[in-house]
Amino acid sequence: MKHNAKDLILSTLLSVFAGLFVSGLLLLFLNKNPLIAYGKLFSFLFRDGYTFAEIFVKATPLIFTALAFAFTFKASLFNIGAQGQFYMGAVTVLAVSQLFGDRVSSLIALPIIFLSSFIAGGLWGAMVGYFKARFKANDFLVSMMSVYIALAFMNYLLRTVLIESKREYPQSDPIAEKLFMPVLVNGTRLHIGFILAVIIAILCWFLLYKTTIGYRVRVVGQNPVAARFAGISAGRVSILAFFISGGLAGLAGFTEVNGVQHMLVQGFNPSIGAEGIGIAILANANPIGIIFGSLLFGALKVGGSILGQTSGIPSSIIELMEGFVMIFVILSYYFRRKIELRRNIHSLMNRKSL
Amino acid sequence: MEFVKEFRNKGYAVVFISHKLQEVMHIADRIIVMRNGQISGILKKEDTNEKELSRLMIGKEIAPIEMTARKYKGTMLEVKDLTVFSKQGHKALNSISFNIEKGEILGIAGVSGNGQQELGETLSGLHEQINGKILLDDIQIESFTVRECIESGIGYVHADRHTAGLVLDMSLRENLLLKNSYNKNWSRKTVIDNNKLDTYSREIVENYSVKTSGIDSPMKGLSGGNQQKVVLGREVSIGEKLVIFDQPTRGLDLGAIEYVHRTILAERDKGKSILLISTELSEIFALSDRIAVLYNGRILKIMEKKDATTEEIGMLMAGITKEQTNEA
Repeated sequence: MKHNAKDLILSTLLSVFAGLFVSGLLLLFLNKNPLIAYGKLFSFLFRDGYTFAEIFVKATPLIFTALAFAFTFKASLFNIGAQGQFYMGAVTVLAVSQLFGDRVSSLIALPIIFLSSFIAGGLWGAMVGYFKARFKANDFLVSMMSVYIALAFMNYLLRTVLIESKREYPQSDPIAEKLFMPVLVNGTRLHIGFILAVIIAILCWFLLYKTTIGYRVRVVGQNPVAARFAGISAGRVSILAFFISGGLAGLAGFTEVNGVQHMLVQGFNPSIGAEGIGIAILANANPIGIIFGSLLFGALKVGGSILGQTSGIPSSIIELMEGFVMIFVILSYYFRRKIELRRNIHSLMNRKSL
Repeated sequence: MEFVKEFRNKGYAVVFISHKLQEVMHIADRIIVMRNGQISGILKKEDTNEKELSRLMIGKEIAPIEMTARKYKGTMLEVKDLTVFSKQGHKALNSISFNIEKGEILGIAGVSGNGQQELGETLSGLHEQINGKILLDDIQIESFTVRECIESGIGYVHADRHTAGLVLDMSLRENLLLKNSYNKNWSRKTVIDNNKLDTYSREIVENYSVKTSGIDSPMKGLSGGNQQKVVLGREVSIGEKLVIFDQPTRGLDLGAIEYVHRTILAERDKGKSILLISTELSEIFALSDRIAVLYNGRILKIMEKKDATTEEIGMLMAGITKEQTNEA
């Protein structure tokens, strides 16, 4: 156990370093010194309160999409479709927010909007789980393809019923101001969505490790045969896990629409689903680790975009960096498994020889 | 058969694998007897007979353990005309009938792959394609789900503890929850009652003298014998009425085997019914009150242990009934 934790921290640091190194090579082609660029990136983060708070703003939706991937991952299921479930949540909260307008007290409206995003994302996700349970459909492929349907559905609505009153751009009217999520620190965009994300992450941990529901999810993930002999239905677990997973991604729609954008724009936040997968794997699918992983990615995003604005370094470098870090993290996961396996075999051999 | 012989006569080599002794005696020139992945005899056909082969197939004999007289009356399990279809659609069990009394051990002898696994699984609710009746304590259970079977007091020690009985990456205590996760006694509004689970886990570790560094240590770190003790502890407490033991000592060392045997007898003496499935005839003889022989999905014979001989059972395991031997 101790060994595994050490492996995890070491391999994570190594993969972040490797990602920085490879994208640093690309900086060299631009005749920029990567070390100086990275130093600047780091110092930008603490430039002012607003920028520092942005890290948490960017981390919030990532926590949700990472939790979404992690939850099904515990059941050995793959939800690659958090992006789509996020869009479904976003469309739903926008529609519900427009319905409420400023007629209803935010104390009543916000909890209902919160729930609606969870249910919308959850049902879209549960569809994948149902196809898996009923037809043995490949969860990986179905969830991945469901993203494009959700995206097209959102665009369709944004060009028809949800389009702004001017009917000019494919975006919605802003939602009523009383439905904005309360801001935590004045002068920043940091809203209570971040606190909500942290609470939900802790709840996820509790659900997975302290309740029978989470226990069954993990049993199905680790040994589906034993689950069958224990009367645990893998099908039911897959529908439930995908519902919760989709719901978590849907919540990102709530925090992004009501907390940050206050409206719906075509194709916004197009990469939080993929980043969530990277973060979840970075954190070994541990809900608490996900909070920190998301903050790391949030910091990269914030520092990177300022770097792009100020140093003439294209901000796509940052996206490349994120991408490389993610790939190295995913690779490190398999290395870790191999090291662990070898260690287990070693300890078995030692015991035999005694 | 004739084709195989012709093929050989042309000068080719043939490896013919079967558990049907008659076939083997008919076709082979040389015979290798295998048991538990090891060779237990290499013989020429001319120098051997079916009796010797069956003896080699069964393996060593062990002295029977002292068994107390049965104290309980009444039938616990009644199986009537049970037919079980495998996924491929053939009959894995073919209209078998038997019963087990309270406080009785029924041993199922047979070469593995003759329907033993299906029998254990069917009594635990894992097969849906079945005909016939199963009564547990006068309640019909043939349509019960796995969960209902667990709830009605059937414990099942599966032959393959690693895949069917344990989650190796989970801790000892989490493995003890495995079949009880739906049981309301173990959780309050789905929140696992950790105090209760801890107490229960410590009890199992103590009562079954499981050697482990603690109830939170991962299952895969335990030795085979200690893993089996955990499974035993769990299934015995679930199986208040019937406990099915399928190959309970496979792959264990002698000390652990003895421990398992004593546990099985202790449960019998509490008045439970025990179905003991084993390919080790010595084990069947040591522990059973009655012995049934399963061959090709059918029960060929059920006999009291005192009336049974290893020779007869060995022949039955190979599908040879007494009438056939007399004819021959």
